Amino acid sequence: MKKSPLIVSVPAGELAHCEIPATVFPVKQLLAGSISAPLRCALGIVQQAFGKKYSALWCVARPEMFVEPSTLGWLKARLDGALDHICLTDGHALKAIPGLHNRVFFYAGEWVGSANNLRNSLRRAPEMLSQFHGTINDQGAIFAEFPGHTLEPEILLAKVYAEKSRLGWTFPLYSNPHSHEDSANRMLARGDHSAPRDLEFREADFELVICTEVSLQDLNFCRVIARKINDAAFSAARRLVIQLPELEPCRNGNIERMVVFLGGLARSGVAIPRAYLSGVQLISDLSVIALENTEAKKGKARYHLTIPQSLSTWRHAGELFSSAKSVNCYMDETKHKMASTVTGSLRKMIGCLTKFEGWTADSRRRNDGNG
Amino acid sequence: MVKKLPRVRRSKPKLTIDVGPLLETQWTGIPVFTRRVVQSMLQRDDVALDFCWNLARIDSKAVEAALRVNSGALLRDWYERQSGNGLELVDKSGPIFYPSVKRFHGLVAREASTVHDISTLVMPENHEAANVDYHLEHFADQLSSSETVFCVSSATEAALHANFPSTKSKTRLIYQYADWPEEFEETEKNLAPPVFGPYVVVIGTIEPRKNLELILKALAEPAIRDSAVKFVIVGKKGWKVDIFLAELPPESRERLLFTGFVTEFTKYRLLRHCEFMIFPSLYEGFGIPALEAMSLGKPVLAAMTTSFPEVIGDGGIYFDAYSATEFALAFQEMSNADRRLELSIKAVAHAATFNAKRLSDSLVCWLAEQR
Repeated sequence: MKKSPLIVSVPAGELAHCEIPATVFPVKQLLAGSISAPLRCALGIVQQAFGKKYSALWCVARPEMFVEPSTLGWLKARLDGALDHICLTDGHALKAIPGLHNRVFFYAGEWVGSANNLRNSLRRAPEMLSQFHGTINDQGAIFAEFPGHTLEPEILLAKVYAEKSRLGWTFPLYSNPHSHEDSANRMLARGDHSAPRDLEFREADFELVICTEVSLQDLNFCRVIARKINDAAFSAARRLVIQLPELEPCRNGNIERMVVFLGGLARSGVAIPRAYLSGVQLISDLSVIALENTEAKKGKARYHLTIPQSLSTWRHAGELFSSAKSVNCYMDETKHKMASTVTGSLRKMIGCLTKFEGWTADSRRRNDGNG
Repeated sequence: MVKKLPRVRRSKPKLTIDVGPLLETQWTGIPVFTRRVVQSMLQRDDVALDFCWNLARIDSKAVEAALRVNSGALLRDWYERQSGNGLELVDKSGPIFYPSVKRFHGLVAREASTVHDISTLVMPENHEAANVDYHLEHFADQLSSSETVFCVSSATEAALHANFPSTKSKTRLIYQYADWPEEFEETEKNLAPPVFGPYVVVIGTIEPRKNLELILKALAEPAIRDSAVKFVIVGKKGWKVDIFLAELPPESRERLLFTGFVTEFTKYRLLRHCEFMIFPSLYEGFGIPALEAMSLGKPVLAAMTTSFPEVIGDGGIYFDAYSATEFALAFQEMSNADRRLELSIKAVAHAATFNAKRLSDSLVCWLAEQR
């Protein structure tokens, strides 16, 4: 049986820095351009998963141009019999191609603006979901909030570390509650990217926390992190390593990332000592601790992992989770009613050893110290 | 003896038109559409017309006076003065037609709204966030509370059906038409033609969706580089255009003439003397400039997107909106005088199918429909 191509579409903003030769073009041209890291990873995963099933992987620029029979016919004549379309969205818009089997892959779930945009679009036009048959790598975050249309979930996991070549930084935490910018600049001045940190992290137990911009809007998550920071500040036994949230490409510098992180800490209301906390290190990138090379692979895990529910777990190889001594996943309190859906998805993506911290009224009281 | 039946005197159906858009001083876009709706209905004598804004009745003489001067300045002044004295409410039992956003939902027995496009939903990146909020926040309510939803093209209708399937049973098409003031032709005859040499007209540069970038890119294509034709670009110069212009060689830059905002008469003159029109837009609800050019016998070189095939029909040549090469080929074909003549005849005939009667018939059919 003749194979047909798989069609993907990406947000218009991602096309802005790519050379597009025509409306329909090979995905490799998109990968050769400047696109956001999550989109690059999502495309890589789609390529890994479907490379052999389809004859080619093509991108359609702006599928919204083709809805009426004449334009749609013109497009389909150029799609070489394609039947499947994956809409890779950053949350600004969801675009289906009429007549194709449409799935949606929301790759920007860590970004507040994107999550809000998607939620707004679905709230304003919930019927638009009827154009889609399924989701890819949805962690039950937003689509489950609009239960009118059941979408078949599909999970595709990264087989390799997608971004391991990036240069990473470590910074000792410093928090001036009066100015996040001042704190960020001071940390940046003490930042270190000269030596690989892998050895250092291998020697001692540490707790790894991965933050997202969305999680830093969650008061409960911020309180948990703030308390972990204070515990680690005076403990030589276990260091705390916190990965800064990754932001949208237009503002993803280390300063901006630190400011967002410190904003979350400030929101928690928990006081942080105003000193350089050598026991608490912020890292720009997981490559700093070179997880794929650690003893973790040999079953000698040294780290406990704490992640928020909004983390795009599909962007990380399975070893990140399977090699950890423990994985604690903190649920966003707004997802409470969908706990089973969300934990079900995450369990498939992370593995069954995960411990989920659901935010029930009781647990909130416990965390507030009132229970 | 046959008993004589009393003669049934049929009263004219009533229609109230919301003329809010006509309160704008300068009429472009939706105010022009509203003007055409009112004018086409005034040409009929089978409907009892009334006008309103914010559900308050507006004197038909004030509306007709605004039509004569082609501006809403005096109408707005009238409205402000009269609303202070207290205006009469519209007849609640009669149907109301909204040519734009329907600000009141379900207050009148029969309401019809108009959808021009759903670009705020499918390409929000090309709109200000406030504009997206304004259009979408109550859009679903507007649709659900309307007895009928008029769409300005079948492309808009198809997009609406895809994203709001519940509207499938209630949409109708309402096609506008090109019209020029009678005096334009006479006045123009007494003036010398523009002195640009051979030129083509490109309408609209204000937004990225107008896709002027493609033309700038295509200037390097041999078919266009070697042609003597100039490009007269009608509309404001967007900020991104300057970036592209700076990268163009001087000989290419000299071929582009930006007019800025022009009056209707200047637009008429520019179209009347051009070789043909180029409309490279990525997205249009209808694309009235194409119809205006065709009504003057000018074929259109248009991107194969959204509503163009139905509006331009066989009065133009289409190209891939992202392919400079395809655009250059189409440009070359259009540069042939014989081919242009052939298309010109078709363009005039196709433009004539969009007329005042067709527009007003859409409304009258709705009025006549049994509820």
